[in-house]
Amino acid sequence: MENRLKHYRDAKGWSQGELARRLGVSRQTINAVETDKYDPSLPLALRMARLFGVGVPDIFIDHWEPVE
Amino acid sequence: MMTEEKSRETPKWVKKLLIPALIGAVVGFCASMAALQFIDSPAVGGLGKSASIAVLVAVLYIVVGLGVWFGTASPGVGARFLNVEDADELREQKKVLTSSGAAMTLWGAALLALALAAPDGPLPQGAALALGAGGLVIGTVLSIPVYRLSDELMRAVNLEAGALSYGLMLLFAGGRCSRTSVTPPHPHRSICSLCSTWWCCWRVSSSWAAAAC
Repeated sequence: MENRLKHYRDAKGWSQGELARRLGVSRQTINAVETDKYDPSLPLALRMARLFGVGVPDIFIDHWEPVE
Repeated sequence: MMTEEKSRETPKWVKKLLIPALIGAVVGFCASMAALQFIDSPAVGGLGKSASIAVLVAVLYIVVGLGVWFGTASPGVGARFLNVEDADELREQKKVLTSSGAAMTLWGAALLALALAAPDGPLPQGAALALGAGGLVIGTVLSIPVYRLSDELMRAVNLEAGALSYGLMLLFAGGRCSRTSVTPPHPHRSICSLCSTWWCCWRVSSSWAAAAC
């Protein structure tokens, strides 16, 4: 899933390791999310949104549209 | 200039897949040949098929476990043959990987002891049982902190590896048994080799899943 995690991380001036430490995960997890290789769990996505003070849909972009 | 530099750079799939696979193949081949020589040596005097497979898988486990251990102790060298992004990953994951390598080595040693048990092997049954059970228990105890220290990505990788290994096991081990209609003379040995094949498949799947991430 497309995401803007790197954008928000860069805005805070944090390294991947720093963000990983704040979220309680490994740097590999942050790297995998940023490179679209891994979609985080809902709790982790919520923690990311809370940390950056934005909504989950601001970080993770889903192009799906509901069928009318 | 930039393009020339890029073209000279070794492709990532060569560095991350081909070179580690070749190193693994060479080390695995040498270790397997050494194990087969050991089985045929006068000290052992040959083993049945099932026990021989168990010895080979045990050696594979010991080699992988020691490789992880060595790679973690020397991250600069380890990053060249282990499935990691860079040497920093080995430094960051040192605690997890050291315990994981030790657990794998112990499980391999436990399997080796069980495979070499009397009457076919040279190891007295009591000693084989003690070594087998001891290795399995200590290895399992060591793997508990590994699980606890793993984050959701590693757990997802492990889960995917487990699912893939089930498929591989069904495809290769299950298919092989049904084709040959094997009726093993020693049921405990066949369980031993079934478990070892599953472990082996799990390791292969784990590498695939980790490579995907």
